[in-house]
Amino acid sequence: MTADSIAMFAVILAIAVLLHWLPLWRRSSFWFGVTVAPDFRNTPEAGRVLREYRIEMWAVSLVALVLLWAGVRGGASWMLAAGPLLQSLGAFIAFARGRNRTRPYAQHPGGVRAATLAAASEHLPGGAVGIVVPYAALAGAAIFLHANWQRLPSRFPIHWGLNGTPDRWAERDWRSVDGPLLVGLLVIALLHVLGYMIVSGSPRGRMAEGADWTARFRRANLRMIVAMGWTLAALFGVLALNPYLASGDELAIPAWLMVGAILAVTAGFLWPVVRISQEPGSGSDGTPDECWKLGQIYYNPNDPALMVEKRFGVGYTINFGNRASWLLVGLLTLILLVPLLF
Amino acid sequence: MAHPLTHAAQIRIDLDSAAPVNRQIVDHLRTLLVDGAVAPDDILPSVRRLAFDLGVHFNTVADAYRTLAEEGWLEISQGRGVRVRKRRAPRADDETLAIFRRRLRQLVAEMRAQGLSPVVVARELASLMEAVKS
Repeated sequence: MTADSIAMFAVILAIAVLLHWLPLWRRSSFWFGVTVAPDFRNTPEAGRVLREYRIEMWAVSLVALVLLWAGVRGGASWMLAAGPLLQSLGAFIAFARGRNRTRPYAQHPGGVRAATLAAASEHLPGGAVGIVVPYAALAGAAIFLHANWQRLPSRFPIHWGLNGTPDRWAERDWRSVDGPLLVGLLVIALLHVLGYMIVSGSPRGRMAEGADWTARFRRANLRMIVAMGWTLAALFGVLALNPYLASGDELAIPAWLMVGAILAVTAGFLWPVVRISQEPGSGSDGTPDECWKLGQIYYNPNDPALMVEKRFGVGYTINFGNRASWLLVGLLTLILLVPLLF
Repeated sequence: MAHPLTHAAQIRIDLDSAAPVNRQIVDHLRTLLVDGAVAPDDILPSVRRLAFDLGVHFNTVADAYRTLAEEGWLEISQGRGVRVRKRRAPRADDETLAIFRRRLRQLVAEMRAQGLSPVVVARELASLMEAVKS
């Protein structure tokens, strides 16, 4: 068994553990995406719904692991892809089934909505510095590489397995040298667009009782986006500089260290979001239950918001009932397809 | 000088109420303006911002702001947002007083029909009267 396949097993297991806890990271008025009484979580019915979800999710994760094992043994690459796909789809269906089991206990969320009249404009945390630094780091790396063009090897590795062995090489040209920086630029830009959509296109809170919770949850999410921008800039910068820094085909910084750093930053900034999501008294989000298709897809043409808080998992999701959201999603998809052109 | 509101003034609406939402926004905002919770030169959220936060259509908020602008409370300018104006109350005529009496009686009757005792109604009116005087 190779290091790559061990890593894939570990990823599926890690996702299963995440999915095990994910239904508990929610506002206090929700259970499986349904508005319920705040103390419903402590009832035997709620426990049963959670238990059945977990059984189904672990069963499907087990099948995903078996598929992966069979794929590794038989060398069938479609099985390697099918495992994670099956796990995601299975968890999606298990949550939707949990939602159906919770619906008989649903409560009317009430029609009262409250909004602050504060007009002070909101920004991504860290201000201009928080946004500009990742781009400046990538630009700095590009300038350095072009200034030292002749010192770069004429042929160098551009892809490595998780054990650090290179498996793809390229000649020295602008695509291979600037490629990681351009991909980094697009990914970071995508993150910042999402952050901007949250700042300017999502509600700052619609229910009076959870206003403080919403503000803190929102801030923690935005902080995570800015931190991820910095981390990805460092990662893509290091990858781009590798032909200059490394001796031979080795990675200048080991793969495990790069992956570990990303995971550490993600976990460090995700943890406050998770902690806030478990606090009592967060109430409801002010979106109607009936607009949550399968409990996870928000479709509400009467809501002008571009993005709203997720009901399964932490973070924000798109309002698929808003045409402007579709335009933005289309634009972002086009941006992601740009690297395929080169 | 214009300044964005920083305190926690809130606007509330009830989507289950029979009253139209734009009417509710006008009524609540006017109450805040009369009470001084929102003062001249304060900057209010843009139409888009308030619509996002309340989950109602842009036109609903725009209608409400327009109504208050026509009453002289707000100044809506492209790019500069919605500013609260210094407003001098117009001289009330006899008809205004008659409307006030009629609405007050209707409200008292409605509340008594819903079970509020005359004592409670009188106490609330007295409390309101004190607040108006001060």
